[in-house]
Amino acid sequence: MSRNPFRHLQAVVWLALAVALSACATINPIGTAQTAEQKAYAAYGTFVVFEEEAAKLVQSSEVPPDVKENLKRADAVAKPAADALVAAARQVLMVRKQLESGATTDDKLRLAIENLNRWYFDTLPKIQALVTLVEKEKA
Amino acid sequence: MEPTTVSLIATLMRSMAMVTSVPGAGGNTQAVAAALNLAALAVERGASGLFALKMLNDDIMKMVATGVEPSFDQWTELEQRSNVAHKILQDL
Repeated sequence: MSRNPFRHLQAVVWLALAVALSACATINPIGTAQTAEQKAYAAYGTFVVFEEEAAKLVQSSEVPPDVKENLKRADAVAKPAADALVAAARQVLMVRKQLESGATTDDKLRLAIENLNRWYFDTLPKIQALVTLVEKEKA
Repeated sequence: MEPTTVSLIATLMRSMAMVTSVPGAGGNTQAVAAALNLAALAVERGASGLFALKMLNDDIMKMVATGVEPSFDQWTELEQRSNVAHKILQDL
């Protein structure tokens, strides 16, 4: 029986691949973030990363047309909510600046953060839908 | 995992696929070679998004460590990237 002389090398490569894949699983910006603004930024950033990946997929000739349509649809659903999340985050930044100069009250900042949180929770499932589609296609 | 490391792994896998699939090799060996080529492609395809996600995670870790919130400029940069990707998707 002939033995493959590269067997040990193959084992090393598969081990390296396993390490790489486990590293992927530990990257979770939303889990890393702590404040409402950081969480919103992490969620929006995750959306952008996967939207960019979806854009690459729709330009590939290897991806079937129905998958491209699904990606397009998921992006069309997520984008308006994601844009509203950015607008709410900008509002928080603006109110905080006003608060620093004494032009507004703590209550205004609290309301702006509550609004940001509402958009954050509204946007998350729409982002997740796009992430799931992209990951399924890239698997 | 740095980009060079991923690239190295993919190259190594392709090299092994080449040396594995020598003429006259058995069916199992050919299958291993094909699997290695596919895995190399998967590693490269997965890597681009992974790096972007890692960079985002690094930014958030810095914010958490220093106690700062994302700035107007950081939001604007992400928004511009989103608009570019969105246009590509919706122009399909």
